[in-house]
Amino acid sequence: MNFFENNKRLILSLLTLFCIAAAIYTFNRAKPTVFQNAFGTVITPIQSFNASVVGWFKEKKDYINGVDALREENESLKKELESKSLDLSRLEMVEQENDRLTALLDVSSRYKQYTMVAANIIAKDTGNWYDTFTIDKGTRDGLSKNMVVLTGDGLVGRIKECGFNYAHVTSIIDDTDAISAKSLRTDDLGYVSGDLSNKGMCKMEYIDNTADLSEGDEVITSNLSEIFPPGITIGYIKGISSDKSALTKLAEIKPAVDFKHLESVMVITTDFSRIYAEDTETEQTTEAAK
Amino acid sequence: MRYILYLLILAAGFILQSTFFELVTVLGIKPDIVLIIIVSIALLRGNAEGTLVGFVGGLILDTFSPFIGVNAFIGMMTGYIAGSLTVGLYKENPFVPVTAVFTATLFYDFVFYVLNILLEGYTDFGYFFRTVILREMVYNALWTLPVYGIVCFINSRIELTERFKRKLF
Repeated sequence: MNFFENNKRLILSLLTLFCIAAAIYTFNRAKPTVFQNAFGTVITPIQSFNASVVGWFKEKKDYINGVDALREENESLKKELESKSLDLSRLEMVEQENDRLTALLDVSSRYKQYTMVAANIIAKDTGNWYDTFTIDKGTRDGLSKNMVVLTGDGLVGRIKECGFNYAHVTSIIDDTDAISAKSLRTDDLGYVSGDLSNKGMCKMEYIDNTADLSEGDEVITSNLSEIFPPGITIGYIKGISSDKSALTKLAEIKPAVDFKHLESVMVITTDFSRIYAEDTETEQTTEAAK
Repeated sequence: MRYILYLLILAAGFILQSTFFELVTVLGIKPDIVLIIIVSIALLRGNAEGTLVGFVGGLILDTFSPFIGVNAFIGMMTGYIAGSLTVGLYKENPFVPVTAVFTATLFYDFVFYVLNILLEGYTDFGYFFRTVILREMVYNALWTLPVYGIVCFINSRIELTERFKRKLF
């Protein structure tokens, strides 16, 4: 310890330099550093165990708090189910028709190619600023960076960093990502990102000024993104305002996923960049054939 | 021995913070146990150990952030300053660690805000001060005494074993 006591200033400046160098070196990297991967691999089983204990406590807490709420929810869900089953039979008809027409057109359907992996959330971000979390699947289970994470309700985010048996996911309510999106009803394009100054909500920017959006419109991922597959629900429009420049519109979006009670998610392991590349190749070949 | 124990305390704090402390979230804020541990050790053992523990604790927190270095830097500075400014205070008085953690949280979060959030284009400091920083200051201060007590206990045990080896007293 004497060595440290005598050279405090020197050590402080050396460590500062190290921090700056590490920040520059690790910024925007493709893979986690060896240090992160090792630490993450060791603590993942512990976090996994803790998460199950936390889940048990939450369950008990919800059980005590939620009986009345559950009864109401049950009622509304039953009503919803009725309307949904009507919708479903209609959709089956549409799907059959779609299949027939697709067969006629000879286009392969893209949506059936998705393969999914289920994962549990084992840890949340330690700070109070960002919304990232850790899932218990990693490169061992075939995941890699930029894979898309979702639930049955809608889009959750994408994998920011993939370790051996864990992966860090940035959610769409975090502001580090911008997702190309469009409104389902009017096909107006925009970019959705999280809003740190309005916790838990997203904002959709760069919407055309003439766009005819209204509250409650569903916003889905557009087909312009290389990471996110088209057609996944992001959320619903809650408010529309004009941008500061008054040239574009700005919409406040409530995410479809309930981020507060998120426990398990699905990861799409299909590699889209490859599919798109194949698509463009086939397009090119067909054009060349013409 | 002492440093292995420090590392274990920090890792335990990190794991608890990322899992169990989700259950004690108040107004969307959870306590920063690693920061409280850093300040506690800096108070008890001076700024040199505060610097090292702050650096290592920050590195552990950095495994979650987009790039390594920011938390390590702020943790290190917090440990150094907390150790330097509290020389000669009565560490037995509970008022000292609580005030130290209260102020250290302000420092830590302010620097974090400037280095991360402000540079992303969020200039409304007042909003973040009200919704995140102030709440976290109060909540961290509330969690200080139990954490400080545990760190004190471990520290006194280590000092007991070290007394024979190094003629400390």
